[in-house]
Amino acid sequence: MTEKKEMDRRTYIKYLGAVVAGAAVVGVGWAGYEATKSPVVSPAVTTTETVTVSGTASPPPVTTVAAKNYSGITLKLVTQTGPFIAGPVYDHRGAWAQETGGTIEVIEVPWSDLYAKIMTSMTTGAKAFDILIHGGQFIPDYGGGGFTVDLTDRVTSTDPNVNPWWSDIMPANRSYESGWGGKFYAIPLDGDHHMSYYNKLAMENPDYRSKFKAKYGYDIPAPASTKDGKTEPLFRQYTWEEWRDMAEFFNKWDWFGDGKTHYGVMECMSRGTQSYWWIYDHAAPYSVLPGGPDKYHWQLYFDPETMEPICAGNQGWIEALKLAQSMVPLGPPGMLGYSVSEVRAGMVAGESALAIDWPDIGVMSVDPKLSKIVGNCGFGSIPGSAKVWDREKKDWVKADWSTDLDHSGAPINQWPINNGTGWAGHIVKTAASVDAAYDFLRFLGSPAISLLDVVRGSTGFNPYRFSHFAPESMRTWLQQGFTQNDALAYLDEIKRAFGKTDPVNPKKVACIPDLKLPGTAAYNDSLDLHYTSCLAGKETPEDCVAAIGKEWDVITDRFGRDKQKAAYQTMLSAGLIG
Amino acid sequence: MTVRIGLSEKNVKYAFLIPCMIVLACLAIFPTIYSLYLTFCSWELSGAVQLWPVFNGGQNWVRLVQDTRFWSDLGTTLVFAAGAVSIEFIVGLGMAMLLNRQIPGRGILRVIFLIPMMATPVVVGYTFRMLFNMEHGPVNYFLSLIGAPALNWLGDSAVALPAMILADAWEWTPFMILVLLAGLQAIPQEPYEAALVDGAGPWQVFRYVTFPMLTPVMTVAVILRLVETLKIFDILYVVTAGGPGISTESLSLYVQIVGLTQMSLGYGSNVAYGLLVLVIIVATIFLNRMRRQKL
Repeated sequence: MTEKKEMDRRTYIKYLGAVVAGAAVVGVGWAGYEATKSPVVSPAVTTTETVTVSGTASPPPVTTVAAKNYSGITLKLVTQTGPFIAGPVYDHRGAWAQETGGTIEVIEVPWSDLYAKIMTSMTTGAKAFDILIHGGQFIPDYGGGGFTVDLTDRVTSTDPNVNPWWSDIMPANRSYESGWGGKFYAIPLDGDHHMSYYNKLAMENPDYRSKFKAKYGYDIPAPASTKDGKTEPLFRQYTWEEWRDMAEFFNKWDWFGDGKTHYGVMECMSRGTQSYWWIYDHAAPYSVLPGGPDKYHWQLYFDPETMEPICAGNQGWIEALKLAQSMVPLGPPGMLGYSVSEVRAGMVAGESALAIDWPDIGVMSVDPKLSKIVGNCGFGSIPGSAKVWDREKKDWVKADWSTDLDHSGAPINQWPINNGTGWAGHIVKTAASVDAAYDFLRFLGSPAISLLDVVRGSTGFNPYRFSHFAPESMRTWLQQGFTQNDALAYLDEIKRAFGKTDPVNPKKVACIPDLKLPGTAAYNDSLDLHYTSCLAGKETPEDCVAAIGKEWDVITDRFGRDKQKAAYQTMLSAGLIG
Repeated sequence: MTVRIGLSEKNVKYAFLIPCMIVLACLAIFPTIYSLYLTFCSWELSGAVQLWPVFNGGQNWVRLVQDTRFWSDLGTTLVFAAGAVSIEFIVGLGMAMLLNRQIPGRGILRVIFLIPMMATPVVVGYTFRMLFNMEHGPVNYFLSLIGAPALNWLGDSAVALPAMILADAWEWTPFMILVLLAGLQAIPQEPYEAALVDGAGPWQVFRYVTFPMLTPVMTVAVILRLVETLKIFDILYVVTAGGPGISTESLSLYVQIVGLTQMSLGYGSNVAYGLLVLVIIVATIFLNRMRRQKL
């Protein structure tokens, strides 16, 4: 018979104590190990390095950070789940800590929950975060709501140890990412707009080009070759109709030569995955007239006098939605479920001939670990339209103000849009140390550090400083795998988007600001819902714009029409130069 | 030294209950009453328009009644709950009866069947997102082997909700198996023996012995799953985010969108109370049925 032995209480407590002490030792050791291995992207760049930049705006020589002591200060930084956006913070926080003694604790939250987490923390006074890295589109809520620090004096300071190399940041990024009501509430860390991508193996193949011409009666609008040393112009502007023809031609056959079926186009079409930024790409060229901003010009969202939604009953929006619907069968069969990640992965895997995305596909395309099309990715603006709906005349008009022409010689109306506004660093008023938080954001967005981030495909940050485009920076772009011509083509498109002025009113940038109002999330949710329903064929384009218009009116009334009108006019005024 | 507390023996029990009552009041009673109060308030945190709730009478309730999205989501939630619980019940009962027999490997099979229930809903969601991927997912691959056309499981509103029902059924059928198997094992052998002596066939044994004696357990299992599926959020949020359109948007997902995406906390509470009323109605119907049958 086996005797059952029971452990007495004293022995139990002794063993338990030993286990807890052992676990504590292992935990402390592990934490110490983690603290020492915080990666720094490039040992060649240190926090004391002096970097000279000479971009278009000739920014002054700068040092990345002045010696400061923030020992004992821990800042809680919240941002999107990595690797995008959170990744570069992990990469550089070690170098900043080494220089200043401060500590950055990163809290990662999925994109869809980020705004809610931040707002609930700030409005309830929970003090959960010190630094927010989030889109500039939320500045009306964060800075405008009085939760984040007004950085105007710091960013415009003439002291080189305080100013975040402000004049080196492109004007549209400065205004749209950090400005609100004449003040600046954030430090830009990213440049956001959509651009088009095409696979050169498809577009530049002479055989395919001749077959395309035989079928559609005109040449593929993408350039015949970008490998012959040409740098200007690298592409010809195309219309959405030409884009659709290209997508149709290259859809569902093996133009890639790997024995698999390849597709015409990829767009983000799934609900809850930022697809609402694609509807603006479609709608702007059919509905936005140059000039203004006034009741009928440079308006994508609302009538600035009445705050009535532009889309409601707008033939330009309806035409755009019809075209967007026609794209669905020209992509992979499951494209209605595609998020941004699938678009990016699919394009660089060579699955699609065309795609629309932020500048991320460009840097991903040259990374051999991610891409099967290294050196074969072409870059262009988002497509335009040869006809524009004039709300005043209630008729279609030709884009006579444009010098870009389609295959028939008709001028093309095209608008860059600041889709997503761009990631920026905001400091919560209750931060443990506003000075330390500002210093970290200034360090993260410094010309030298930001250049390291914008050239990599895994960071989610895109060029926004003049110095990123400067000849001195070319070496860094080439080190990432770009050819000189491809780097120039890629940067040229981004510069064009942010640097272009309105063809009728040169005192205004052409780049349309992202929707940036109190209640932006509610407007976007309505747009997202009806746009994805329309793409899925559940709503007609006419019903879609009517439903969006009706819901946007309700949201505007809920927030107060006059207040929203004032906020909208503030948003538009950010586009004025000088 | 003895400390004397000025409480009679009768009142001491109440003193011991006070901490528990405080916890209950803080965690359950106050939030319930406060959120009911919020249903009569406007509280828009977006843009810091209203940092505190402002009483607006019954406007939110009028809005709820007129909100076509609420009613559409209510229908989706009911279809989802009915579909998922039906599948879970039928398959669960069949599997439980199988496992109640003396079959080889019964022990290991029981453990394997429980694995889906142990996985977190987010993991299950991502798994099904891959399984239902139109181009690369194994579901369409197996369909192609039998000559069936590929379905756009997550992009076509006609099949997205059934796909989500299947995902939920996969995860929670083991719960039904577990509960119903316990019920089956609790049924005494004598009624079976008597039925066999009287010449009853397998169907008659099931219909007149097993089913009536298992009914109390089945009712509890179905109520528990119905209440859970009426509150479904996680799988839908991860896999479809309610899309395409609102074809897979449940009431819980709508509560999250209104309350935490749009930061409209007042109206969000109304939608949440709409869901609560639905759950109470369904649970009451089942409980009354149980009471009537003296289960």
